[in-house]
Amino acid sequence: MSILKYLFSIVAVMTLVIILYRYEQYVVEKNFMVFSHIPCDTATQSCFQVDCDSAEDSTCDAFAYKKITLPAREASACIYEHTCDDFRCDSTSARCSITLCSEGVLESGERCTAQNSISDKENI
Amino acid sequence: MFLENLSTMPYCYEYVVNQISVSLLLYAHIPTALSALLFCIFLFAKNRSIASFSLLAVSVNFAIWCFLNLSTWFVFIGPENTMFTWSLIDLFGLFLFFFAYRFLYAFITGSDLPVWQTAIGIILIVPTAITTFLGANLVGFESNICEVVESPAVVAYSYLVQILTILAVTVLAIWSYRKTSKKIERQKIVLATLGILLFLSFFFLANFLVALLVNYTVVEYAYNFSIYGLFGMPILLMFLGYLIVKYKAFSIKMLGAQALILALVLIDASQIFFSSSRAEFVVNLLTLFLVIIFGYFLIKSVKLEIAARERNEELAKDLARANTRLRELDRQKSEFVSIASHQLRSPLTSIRGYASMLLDGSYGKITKKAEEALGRIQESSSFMALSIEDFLNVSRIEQGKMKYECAEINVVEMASTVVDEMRAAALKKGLTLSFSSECKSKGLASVDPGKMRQVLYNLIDNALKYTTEGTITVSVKDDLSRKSLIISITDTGIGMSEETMGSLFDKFVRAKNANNINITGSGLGLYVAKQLMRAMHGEVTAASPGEGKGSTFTITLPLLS
Repeated sequence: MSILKYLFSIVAVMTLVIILYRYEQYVVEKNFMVFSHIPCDTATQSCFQVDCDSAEDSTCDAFAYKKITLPAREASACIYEHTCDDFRCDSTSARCSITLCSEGVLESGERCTAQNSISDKENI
Repeated sequence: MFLENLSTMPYCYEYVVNQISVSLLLYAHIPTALSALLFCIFLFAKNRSIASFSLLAVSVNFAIWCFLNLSTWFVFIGPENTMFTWSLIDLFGLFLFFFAYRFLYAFITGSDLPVWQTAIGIILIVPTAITTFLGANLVGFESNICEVVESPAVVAYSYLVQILTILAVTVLAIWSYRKTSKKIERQKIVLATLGILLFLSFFFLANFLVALLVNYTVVEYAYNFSIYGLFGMPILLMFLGYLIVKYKAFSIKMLGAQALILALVLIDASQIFFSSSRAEFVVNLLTLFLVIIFGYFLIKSVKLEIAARERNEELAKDLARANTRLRELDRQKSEFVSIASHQLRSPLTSIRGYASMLLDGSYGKITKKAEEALGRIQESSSFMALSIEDFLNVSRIEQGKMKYECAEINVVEMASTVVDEMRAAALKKGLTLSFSSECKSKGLASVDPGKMRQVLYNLIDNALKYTTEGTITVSVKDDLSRKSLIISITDTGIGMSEETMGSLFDKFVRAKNANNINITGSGLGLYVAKQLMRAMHGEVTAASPGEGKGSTFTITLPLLS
């Protein structure tokens, strides 16, 4: 067997290992993070909103949200559908976090619903 | 509808179908991947070389990449599936580039990649493989836009390796092009490189530009454009098909008709997959069936035609080879005749000289019988000298060694002089040799005087030889409108048949009835006359009403004004 065939055999085996390991990690274990938006109560919390004017832009979405990051295995269907009301992270989960709006976490195209927002990063 | 049933995430299903047509997604991915796979499997089955194996590896990686890419769009089936398939995309993308380079190298050089180049390729892929294994190439799943968030550094590295591969392909092609001087090899290199470069560039640019558009949010739904990168594959297949049909690349004898029918079958078959109604399905199926049937008969008939053409081409080559061989033999024969004639001429001159001296009485008085014998020796040797001169002339003409010194000559005067000189011989045979001129011009022509005289002498001598009774008339006239001078030698001799006239000016050909009168002709005189006149821009023709009815030989020359 030539050196090239050895090399290609090793690459093929390694590729198979990678595929199987990733399948196990992502599909079986659901070992990845999910980023989502869930409804936010503007009366009590500083929420995110898309920075647009509904009077000028018909597609402007006034949905107020907070950002949630959590492991996929802890994500329920409402997370993917953005319909979880009053969602709270499991107290045992170290990787689940809910981010409320503040100047420091604002991304381009976003705004906060309250000007004097609290710099919250809840980790409940 | 089928996909909607598979959906576990209504939000993402709506998001995707609002973004892009699912049919377009399927049509861009599945037929492209399938046709590439089928083409390369066919190629590998016909020709088990490193190049065809590498091409098969390209098509397999491309098919896997298409499957992975397609499944990333079907995120609504479940984010874990999308994470899994998306995580492998970069790795298989790099495999695709590596095998494309390996294919081009093997196609051009006919051998596998050197170990050091393979090692460099694998080393470049290792970082992507490690990050894929560790899951570091993906940050997570962004459920708001139903997409996976990638690690920018890993994506940038992948693009860098892709650019390096494109550069390597270009360098390899330029190096190979300059190394070979064969035109066909160069054309093959250019075509194969263009196919590979277009394929890789389409693939790279579509994904790279999409990444830029996504990063700078220039266009909404920028990922839609990534499907256009797939169209590089049909372009590569077209280039490969052309290489096979035109240059018999991969040692495959494929006809243009076969390639066309194959493409039609693939297109029709792919349309069946995307039939939106039962009626459309039946129509597509029927079309495919008809294309296969008619295609089969078309290919069969084209194959027969091509086989016949190839047989003819082979025969033509054989004929050309035989012709070249014949020319060579003819040249050798002329050379032999020339050498032999020169060798004969010298002793013959001595024979004629001594015979003449004996007849003159230079060696004392000789008897009447000896005088007769010497007369015959002189007559025969004179004929032999003329024959040798003819042989030498033929030899010179065929070897292109005959020299012509043309000058402005009054041909009318020349013809009259020759007639005067030969009149005595005519009278000796009891014939009348007359001359007439109806020229309105001076009768000037640009000819070699010696050669012209030789032709005139030859034709008049022929007339004398083959006429037993009657007259020989030499007449000259000019045609001012056509600017030509016409000399006719008309006799009342043995004449000739039409069949004889057809080959009269060929070498060693004599009229069938010529031997009845004169048995000593070599059959070269008229051939030499024709060739000499042709070289002086004139021509000689012969006409006769039939055997026993006389002949007319006509010389036509361009008249000088």
